Amino acid sequence: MAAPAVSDRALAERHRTGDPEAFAEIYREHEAMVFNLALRLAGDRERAADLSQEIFLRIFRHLDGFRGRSSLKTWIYRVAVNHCRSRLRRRGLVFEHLVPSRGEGPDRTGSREEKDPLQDLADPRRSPEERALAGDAERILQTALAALPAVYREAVVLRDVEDLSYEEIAEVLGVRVGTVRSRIARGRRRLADELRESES
Amino acid sequence: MSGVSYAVGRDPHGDWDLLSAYVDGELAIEQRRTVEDHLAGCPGCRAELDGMRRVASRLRSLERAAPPPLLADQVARRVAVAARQPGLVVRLEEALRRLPVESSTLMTFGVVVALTAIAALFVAGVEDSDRAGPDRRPAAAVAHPAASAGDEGLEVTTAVVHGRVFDREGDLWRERHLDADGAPRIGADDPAAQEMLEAEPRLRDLLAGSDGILLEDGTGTVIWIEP
Repeated sequence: MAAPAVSDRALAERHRTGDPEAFAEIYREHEAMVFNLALRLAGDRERAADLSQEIFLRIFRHLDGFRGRSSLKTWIYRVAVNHCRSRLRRRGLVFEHLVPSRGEGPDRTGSREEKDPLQDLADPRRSPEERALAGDAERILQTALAALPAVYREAVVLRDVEDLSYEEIAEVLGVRVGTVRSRIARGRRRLADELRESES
Repeated sequence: MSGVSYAVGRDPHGDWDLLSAYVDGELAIEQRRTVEDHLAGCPGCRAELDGMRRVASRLRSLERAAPPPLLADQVARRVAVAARQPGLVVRLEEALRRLPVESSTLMTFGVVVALTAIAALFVAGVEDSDRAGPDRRPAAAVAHPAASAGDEGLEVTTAVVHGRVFDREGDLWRERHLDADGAPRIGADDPAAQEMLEAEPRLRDLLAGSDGILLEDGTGTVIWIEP
């Protein structure tokens, strides 16, 4: 884990002393990261937007407590993961409305565009057919992610989506590197099983 | 690279942690060679490895989603409101003086949302009526050390009532799950506990009169401190 940048501490200090531009900088720098993390953990764009708002509010309120022992990026990941975990547990099921019931596939003509919260995630430069295929593949993957226990989902998303090292993930989750390794391995195996099932 | 913690010569067969770490390039050279030697003669482990590789590759190929265009404005609005309403600061002494509160007054969420912010800290001393007897566990205040120097108290943003957890959102308290049972338990002499107790010395009074206090730091990480 890289040593926290002096600029991280300076940014937190500017926030503490009331400089509104400090939080604006943090927001601009981390908006996409927070939103995408929330999206992959919650599985739903609208919910991810709500979670992102709450996460940034929490960052705003607690940035004073940032002591620079880790990088600001790690600290924000930690805030975001903790927040998503507590909010999503309160909700109980994650992503239930994206799991179609039997006989109600995602390719019903006309209804998918309106109902699918993931429909606008695919690259707009692609053709409609390519986007539909990519959207379906993503939906299957996101459904499989949602079926994972939260601790595996967090570890796998931080590793394979956010591209954090094992050490960074350990720091974000507050667990040992060995635990991270084990959660990633179990998460990937379960995902592989889920995907095999859903695609067979 | 974190592979150094693996014992050299560990049998890779069916060791999914090892194979998964191999996928990530997190093994030391000798371990990597051991895994590769094993894979050359074990179709079962090769299939497992391929499955994990495919999963990792599919996740990595997910496109980054653009945040909703309105998100920045929505955050700015909420932050502006938060900035106008400085953190709720409650004198801990006042809360302690008023303890214990009749638990029946705090039984339902409907009552809790109607409480004023200060009253919410009263739950710090509400006893858990489900567990009668000498080992009754006190309800806990989840407190954040006050944000700015000079505040004489704690900013209470979360309260626990009979094991149910409520977050303050403006004038309302919203229930959510908080894994108190899963929180690491540490003694008051632990460096992490010392740091929090030094940041807010009044917590020591609360700690001394209880079986423990549940503390949540600014990142949402929860620990249970025992006296």
